[in-house]
Amino acid sequence: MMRASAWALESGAFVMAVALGVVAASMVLLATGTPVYQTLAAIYSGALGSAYALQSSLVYAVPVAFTGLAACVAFRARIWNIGGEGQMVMGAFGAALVALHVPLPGPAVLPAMILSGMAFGALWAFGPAVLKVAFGVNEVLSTLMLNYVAILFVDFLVFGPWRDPAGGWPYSPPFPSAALLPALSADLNVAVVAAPVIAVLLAVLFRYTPWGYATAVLGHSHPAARYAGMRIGRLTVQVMLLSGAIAALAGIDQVAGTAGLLYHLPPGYGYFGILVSWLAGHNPLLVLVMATFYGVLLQGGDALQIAQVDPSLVRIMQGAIIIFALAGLTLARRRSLSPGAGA
Amino acid sequence: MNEAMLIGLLAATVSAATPLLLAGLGELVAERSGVLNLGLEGLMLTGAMTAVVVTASTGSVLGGIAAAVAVTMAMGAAFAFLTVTIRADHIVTGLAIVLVGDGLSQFFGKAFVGVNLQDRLAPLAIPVLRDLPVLGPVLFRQNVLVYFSLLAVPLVWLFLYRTRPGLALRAAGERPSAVDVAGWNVVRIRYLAVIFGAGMAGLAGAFLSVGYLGSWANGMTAGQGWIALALVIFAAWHPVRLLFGAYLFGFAYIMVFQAQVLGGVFQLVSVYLMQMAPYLLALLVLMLIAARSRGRGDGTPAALAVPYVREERT
Amino acid sequence: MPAARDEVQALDISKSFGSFVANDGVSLRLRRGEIHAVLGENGAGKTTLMNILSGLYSPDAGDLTVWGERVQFRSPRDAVLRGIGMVHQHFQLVEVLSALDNVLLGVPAGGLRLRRGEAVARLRAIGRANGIDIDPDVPVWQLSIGQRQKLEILKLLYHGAELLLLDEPTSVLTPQEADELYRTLRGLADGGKAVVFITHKLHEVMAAADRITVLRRGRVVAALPASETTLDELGTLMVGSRPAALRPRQATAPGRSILRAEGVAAAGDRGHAALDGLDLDVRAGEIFGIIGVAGNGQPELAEVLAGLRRASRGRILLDGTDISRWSPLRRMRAGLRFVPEDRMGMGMVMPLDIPDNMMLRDFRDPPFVRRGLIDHGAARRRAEEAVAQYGVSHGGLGRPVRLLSGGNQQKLLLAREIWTDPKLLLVSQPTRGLDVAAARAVHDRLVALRDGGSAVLLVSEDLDEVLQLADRAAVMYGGRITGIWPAARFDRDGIGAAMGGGIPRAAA
Repeated sequence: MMRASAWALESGAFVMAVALGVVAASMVLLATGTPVYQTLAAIYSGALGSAYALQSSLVYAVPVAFTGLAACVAFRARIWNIGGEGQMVMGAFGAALVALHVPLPGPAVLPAMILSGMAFGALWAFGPAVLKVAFGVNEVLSTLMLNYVAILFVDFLVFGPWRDPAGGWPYSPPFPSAALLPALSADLNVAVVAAPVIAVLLAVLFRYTPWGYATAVLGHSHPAARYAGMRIGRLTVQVMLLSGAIAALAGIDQVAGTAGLLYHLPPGYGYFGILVSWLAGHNPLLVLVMATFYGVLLQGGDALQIAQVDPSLVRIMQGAIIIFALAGLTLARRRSLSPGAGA
Repeated sequence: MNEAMLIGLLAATVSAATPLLLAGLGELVAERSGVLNLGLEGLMLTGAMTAVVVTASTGSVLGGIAAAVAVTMAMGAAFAFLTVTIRADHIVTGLAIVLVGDGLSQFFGKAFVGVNLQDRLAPLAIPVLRDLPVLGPVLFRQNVLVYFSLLAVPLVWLFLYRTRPGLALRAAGERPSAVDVAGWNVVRIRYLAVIFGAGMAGLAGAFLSVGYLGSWANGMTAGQGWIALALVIFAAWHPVRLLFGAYLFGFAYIMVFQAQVLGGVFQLVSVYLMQMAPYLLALLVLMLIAARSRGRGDGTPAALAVPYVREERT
Repeated sequence: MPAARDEVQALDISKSFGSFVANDGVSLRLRRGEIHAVLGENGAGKTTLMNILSGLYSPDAGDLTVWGERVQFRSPRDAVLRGIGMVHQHFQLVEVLSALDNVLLGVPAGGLRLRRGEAVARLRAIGRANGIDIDPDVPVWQLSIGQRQKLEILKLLYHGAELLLLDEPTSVLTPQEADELYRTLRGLADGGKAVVFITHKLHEVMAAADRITVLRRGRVVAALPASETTLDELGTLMVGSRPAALRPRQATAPGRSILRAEGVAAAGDRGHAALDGLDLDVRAGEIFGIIGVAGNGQPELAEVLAGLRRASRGRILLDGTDISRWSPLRRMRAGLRFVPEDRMGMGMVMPLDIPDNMMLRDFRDPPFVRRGLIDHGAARRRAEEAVAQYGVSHGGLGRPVRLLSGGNQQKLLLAREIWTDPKLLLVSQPTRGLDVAAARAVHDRLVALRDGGSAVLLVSEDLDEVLQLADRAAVMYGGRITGIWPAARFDRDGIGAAMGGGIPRAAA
């Protein structure tokens, strides 16, 4: 539980970071001779200004929320799962595998896809977890290497054996309609509801179960965890499995909801999730807030493209905001002495 | 395989190994001082882009390389400010640097994507040595950054093991408080080490763009920054072992490339699957190193990624 | 009177950390040829004063005069350049580096190159002149504790220290090693160096110092020559009232055997034999004290008994049941509770608050778990009880325990472990770093627990603590118990000799 003053300090630091990030992006615009106000206005109206804009932002926010929730499961326990990206891609693969190649009666398709996707995501995290526990392999690098392997594996499929012979693009054939997540609107599917539900479940898991307590202790001190009778190896594997399974949901959402086919997923969500989780202090409910913010930024990039401004400006803005937020939140958290699982 | 092919293969290995060696050496120095900079990938991208943009705009390759080093050193200073002064988390900050580098390079490199540079770093054959059989064409008809990377190995070794600042730097990564009470400035040591490491990553990126491929493409480093990080572990934080590791991985990259060219049985294997090879090799290497050093130290600096703060009230 | 250029003087030094006043107008005068002791309890401000003299902290107020010159140190480098060097309580050595490289790390030996050849010769010469013999090429991790301390002194001499500051230099030494250290220091003083050491051990002050300054709560309460005072007077000065007499010991009937260890062996972290065929028998209703110098396997023994370290040989019986293969959790549930030596790293989770720490060991069991979910209310009630019963002062239950003093942390730890009414309480170094009042409170709890019929196994490096509390005392040396004394036959000299590896004279 954070105290009110800590809340104020941290939100203040974050708002300040956003403001500075916008200022930095404006300076880049000035330097390149692009009109500042119109550009910022385009971001606003494209990402926030209308119900349609907001929905578009949420489309981006949902996968980031899942990778962010996945990251907070691991990072709370100080297990550095940088593999959200690969686990997400394997989740997409697992879902596509069932959608395209496993004949199932209609109502069973989606549950089987979700289970299969989560299982592959968990599997992709299981490897580094076992390597860490059995040999002491640094999980930062092992999860990272597996990100590349997963992406190349799906590339292999969509450029090779799974490529839709009817289409010109490196895509799999479209999923049958039974394999699509139920839509809530033109752009949004049920995942936009699933993300908050999972966030709440995680919040309860962290605060009200012995397992959640154990992983928090693990994150603070291995000697204390051993002293408290925990089995560090087993706990580490469990944390990684859960983290990988949740990251997989980001991939499932993209192939079974947004796209309706398997393709080379847009890169970066796995890494955005880590930053989002850190910004949220590894608090699952705040992860939702930060993921929405990130969705707005990403959609802002699309809006710029329409306004014929280089969309990678938004990446600079993201970078600047994160750097300022890193500085500000690190200082704010140190000062506020707030207990809890902040890194 | 005839001699010409072998020479071609080895010369290509040298080219592929050079960016790994440059970035790895810089990271090695930074980590020896106690700072883990995961941002290599972003720094290399920024370096590669800066070198192309400046070279294309000014016509000076050396100017482009110098600009790449200067820009990435500035980013290194920012990283040091966050991790050493503010004591932000090294891992999260490193990832942020990757995203920032990626964004900066995409934004400012936009106009240069796919442009083939008129000027690029020309090979500089070394008299006499260039005529050695095999070794001559493989090693001594390369460009100046290749020579620099090879020279940097003994220089870094000499610095770390034969100078007083080098001793202090190694100690800062092991026991910063001992360095502090001995009268050195731990913060300054770590800043300098990180800035040096970032500049080397920028140089590695510049080698890729203006020294090797002669062009810029988004994300052109394709994970080499991460491989360089794994190499530092593989090298047990020792520069000479890093040289060995960089060339091993350079060879692996070239073999993947050659296999595609050679065709034959390799044509049956997808290029995407073969491109996994360096990452799987890195994973295997990490596993072997960890298994071998189980229970003993693997050379990890004891204070790596641990912020130093002078203890108040002992 | 000695000339000012032979003196280092601190005048009216004050230093605060937040609201805590560590030094409050402290003055100190140190002279060449003299050994000066700064005496005081934990928290009296001794280390702060030394850190100011060595340039690590700058004082909020006050003056430093070094060899006749007013100075303001901005860093330890400034102090070293003036000939002031400090041996910290936690040695500032880099373990992976050689002894020589550790010496060369220091300033002000200028230049870029490491001139190891010349340095070796000089180091050897200085070592010979001062009776310190250390192989320059050996890595520090291979040196014994005593050798490391000598290396620290050698390091200072190499860099031209004229004033040597030593922080609690004997806390990690055997009595014999301590004697040797004081001989070395006397030699240095006779050679014209000024030496000052800080300690809370009265008899060392009387044995080794020429002049004594006593600190209490950040102020100087006395400064006097050793020849003009007595142990009793110093004790009174240090604590502020007469030190408590020995605790009256009630004649306890030895109960049944609660904990037996038979031929237990275990490897330490570096793979060496830390425990080497150790036997032990702790009975109900007694405090069994294990005394030994650091590095003789005490932490390993505690970990093996608690199940945190694997025993390679031997059996452990709890109340007659073989628990050798039991997990830490099962041992805990069977009534073997443990207060570890590493309070902050292991015993508590520093960033968590008091209620969260109260359930650290029992978070799977009622009352902390109801219907599978954690009951934070129960943890809070437990915390409130503990705080009330043990007199823990805190700024709010919801604040991280890292903000509590060591004494308050230790009280909470004890409260948590004792609350379950253990068969055996294993306590390691329970009063290290605590002030006298907190230490006394901890001792009272252990005695009360013993009087209630539990067995208490007390592992300590503080001989006075063991002599004061234990019903039986055992010396641990080289991974074994080398002698056992019942309270009636306690003999400081005999036990001290056994702690240094001597063959015990009065083993029961």
